[in-house]
Amino acid sequence: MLESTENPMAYINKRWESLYDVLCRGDSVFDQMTNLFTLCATIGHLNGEEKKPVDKKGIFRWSNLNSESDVSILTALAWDARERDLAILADKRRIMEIACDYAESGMQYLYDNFFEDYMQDGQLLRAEKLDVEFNLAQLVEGLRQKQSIF
Amino acid sequence: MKLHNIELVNFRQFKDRQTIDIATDSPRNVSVIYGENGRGKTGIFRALMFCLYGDKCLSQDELSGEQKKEGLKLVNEVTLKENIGTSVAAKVTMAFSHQSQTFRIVRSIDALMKEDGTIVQNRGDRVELQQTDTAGNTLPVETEHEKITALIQEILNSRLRDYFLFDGERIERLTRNTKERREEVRQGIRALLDLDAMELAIAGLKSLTSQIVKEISHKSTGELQRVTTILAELNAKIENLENAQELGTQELKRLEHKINVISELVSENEETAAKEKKRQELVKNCQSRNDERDALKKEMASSMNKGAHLVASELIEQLREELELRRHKGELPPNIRKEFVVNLLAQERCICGASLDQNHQKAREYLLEFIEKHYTPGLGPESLDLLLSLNRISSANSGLADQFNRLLTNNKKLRDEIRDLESKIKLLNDELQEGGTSIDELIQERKLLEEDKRRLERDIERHGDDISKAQKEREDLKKKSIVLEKQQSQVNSLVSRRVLTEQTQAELQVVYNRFADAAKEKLAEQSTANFSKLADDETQKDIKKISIDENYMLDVLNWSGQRRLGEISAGQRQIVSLSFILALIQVAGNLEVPLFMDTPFGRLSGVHRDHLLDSIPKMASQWILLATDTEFTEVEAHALRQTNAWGKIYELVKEGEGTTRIVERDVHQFTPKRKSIY
Repeated sequence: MLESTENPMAYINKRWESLYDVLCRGDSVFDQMTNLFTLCATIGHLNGEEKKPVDKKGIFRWSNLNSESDVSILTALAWDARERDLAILADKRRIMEIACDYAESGMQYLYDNFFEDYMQDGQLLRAEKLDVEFNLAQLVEGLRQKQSIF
Repeated sequence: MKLHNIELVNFRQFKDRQTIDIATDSPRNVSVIYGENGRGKTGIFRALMFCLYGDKCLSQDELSGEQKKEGLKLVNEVTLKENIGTSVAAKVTMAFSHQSQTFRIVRSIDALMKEDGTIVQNRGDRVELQQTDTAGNTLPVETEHEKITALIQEILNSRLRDYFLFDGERIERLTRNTKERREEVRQGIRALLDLDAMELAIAGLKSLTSQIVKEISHKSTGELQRVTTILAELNAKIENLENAQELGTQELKRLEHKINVISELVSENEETAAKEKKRQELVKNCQSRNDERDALKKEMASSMNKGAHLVASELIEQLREELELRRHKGELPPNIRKEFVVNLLAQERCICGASLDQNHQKAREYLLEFIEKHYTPGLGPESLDLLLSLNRISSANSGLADQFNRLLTNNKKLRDEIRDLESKIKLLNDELQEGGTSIDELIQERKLLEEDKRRLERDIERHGDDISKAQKEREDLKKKSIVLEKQQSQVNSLVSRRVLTEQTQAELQVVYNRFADAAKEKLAEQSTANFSKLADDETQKDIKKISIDENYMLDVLNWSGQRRLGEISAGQRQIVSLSFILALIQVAGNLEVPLFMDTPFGRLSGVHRDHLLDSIPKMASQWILLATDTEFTEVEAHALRQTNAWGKIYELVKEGEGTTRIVERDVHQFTPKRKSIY
C-alpha cells in the first residue's frame, strides 16, 4: 500500500513500543508521543545516524504532529539531511521517512545510554523511581552543548 | 307427693270458698269429682295447675301466643260483677305432703270488673308456700316466686304434669307417631328417671369442652414458639456479642499495656528522645526537599516536551537563517505570483504591455529565469509559515535553555541536599538502632497500636450498644414469653381438662345410653305388664307387647312382633298410654304422685273401664277422677265400690249462672244419674 503523501504515518521499531507507552502515558514525562518521537529524531540527527526501523509499527500520523514545533523541527532535520535542499520542505512523506529513521537512531542512543540498565524483558522497570525527567534533561542538555561544539 | 285438699275461693265458676278433700288413705285412694259437662270439672284441674305452677291456661285451651301470656280470666265473674270497680282475688290453696312433710301452697290473682263489664286481670299472681309442723302450725316457708317454683319443680317436675294430671282425651295422643309425641314420651322418661340430669351433665360437659377448646384456641397462637425462637436467636446473638466484647476488652488491655510499655521505652531515654526528635526534623526536611524535587520533576517533564527544540536549536537557527535570506531576497514568498508570470508567458506579453514574441526573446528568457529563480519548490506560502514557526522557536529557545539549566541545577542542589539529609538520617537511625528497637518504629508501632485501640474502643462501644439493645429486646421478649408460657401452661392444663371432660362426657354418654336403654326396656316391659291387666281379652290377643323404640316411640307389637299401633282403636290407644304412664310411676320406684284424670273413660269399653277401676287404685298412690255423668254411671260406681278404694265423691252442682257448688256426697250412698251408657 502506498503511503499517503498528505498525511504520512510515523513508524517506530516495535521494540520501543513499551518505552513510548511508559514515557508518554498519563502523567508521565511526555504529553504526546509526538514529543518523544521528535526528541528522538533530533538526537538521531545530532548523532548523524539514520536507521531504518525494522519490524515497524505506526504510532501516529502527520496530522497528529504539533504544526508549529514538531513539524518545524522535523522539516529542519529533513532539510539538513538532504543537503539542505529547500525542495524537501514541501514533501511531508520524505520528511516523515527521514524523521522515522532519525527517531529510530535517537531512541537507540537513549536506550544505549540510559534505559538499557533499567529494562527487563523489554519493559522499563520502576519508571517513576528513575528520575527519567532529569536524566533525559541531562542527556538533552549534554547534546545541546555538544551541537554547539560542532 | 300426696294431695290432701284443694280450696278454691272465687276461682272460675267456684264462687266464694269451696273445698275438696282428696282421698289419701290407702286403700281408699280414689276420689271422684262428678259433674255434667260445663259444671267445672276442668276448672278443678285448672285450679290445680294454677296453684302448683301459676298456669292461667292449659295446653288444651289452644290459645295464641298473646292469649297464652294473658291467660284465661280466673276470678269468678259473678263475684266481680258484685264488686264492680273493686279488685277481687281468685285464690287456690292446695295442701299436700311430700316425703313426710306437709305443705300448703296458696296462689292468688287479682282482677277487677269495670262498669262496662270489662274484666281486667293482673298479669302477676301472689304465691306463698307454707309448711305445717307436727303440731299443725302453718308457717310461711317461701314467698318468692322463683324459689317456690324451684321447690315445686323438685317435688313434681312441671314436665310430668301432663302424665299425672291429664285428661283422657289427651292421653291417647301419647301413642301417636309424631315428633311432638315422641318428644313427650322422651321427656317423660327423662324427667321421671332423672335422665335429664345426666343429659344436663353431658350437655354441660359438652359446653365445657367447647369452652375449653375455644380458650385453647384463643391462647394457642403459636406466638410462644415464635417468641422462643427469637429469644434463642437473641441469646446466641448476645452471647456472640459478649464473647466479642470480652475478647475486645482483653485485646484492649493488651494494647493499652503495649502502648504503655512503648511510651515508657520512648520516654525512658532523653538522649534517645532528642536524637529521635532531630531525626524526625531531618526526615521532615528530607520530605520537604523531596516534595520540592517532585514539583521540579513535573516542571522538568513539562519542559522535556520541548527537549527537541534544544537538541535541534542549531539546526533550527540555520534553517531559519536560510529562509530569512530567501525572504530577504524576495523569494519567500515570491512578490509576484507564479501563476501570473506563467500566464504572461503564455500570452507572450510583458507586464509593461510589451510583446514577448520571438522579437523579444531576451525579455522572454528573463521571465523564464525569473520563474526558475524565484519559484523554487519548497518556497511556497507554507515555508513562510515555517519561517514564522522557526522564528518563534528560536526566540523561545534561549529561555528554554535557561529553564533547563535552572531546573537541572536546582535538581542537582536538591538531590545533594536530600542525599545529605538521608545520610544524616541514616546515621541517626543507626545510632538509635544501637539501643535496640528504633524509637521511630516504636513510635510508629505505638501510633498503630493507638489507632487499633481507638478502633477497638469503637467496636467495644458498638458491641455494648448492640448488647444493651439485644438485652432490652430479650427482656421484653422474656416478659412476653412468661405471659405466653403461662398461657401455654394454661393451655396444657386446658388440654388436660378438655381430654378429661371429653372422656367424662363419653363415659357419661355410655352410662346414659345404657341407662336409657335399660329404662326403655324396663318401661316397655312394665307397660306390657300393665297393659295385660288393663286391656280386655280381645285386645290382648291382638297386642302382645308394648315397645319403646330408640326414638322413644311407643308402639304395640302383635304376636309375631309386627308393629300394630296404627291399627288399634282410640280406646285401645288410651289403654296403651295409661299402661305406659303407670309403668313410669312403677319404674321410677312406685312414685308417690296423684293420678289426676279428667274424663278418663270417654273412649273406653266397659271391660276396659272395669279393668281400670280395678287396677289403677293399686298402681297409683292417688287417683282423682273427673268424670261426667255419661262415663261414671252406676256400673262404674258399682265397680269402683267393689275395689274398696273409693274414698271421696264430690258432685259439681250448678247454683246459678256462672256458679258451681262443690258438694261432697257419701261414697256409699252416691248414685250416679245414669245406670249405664250401654
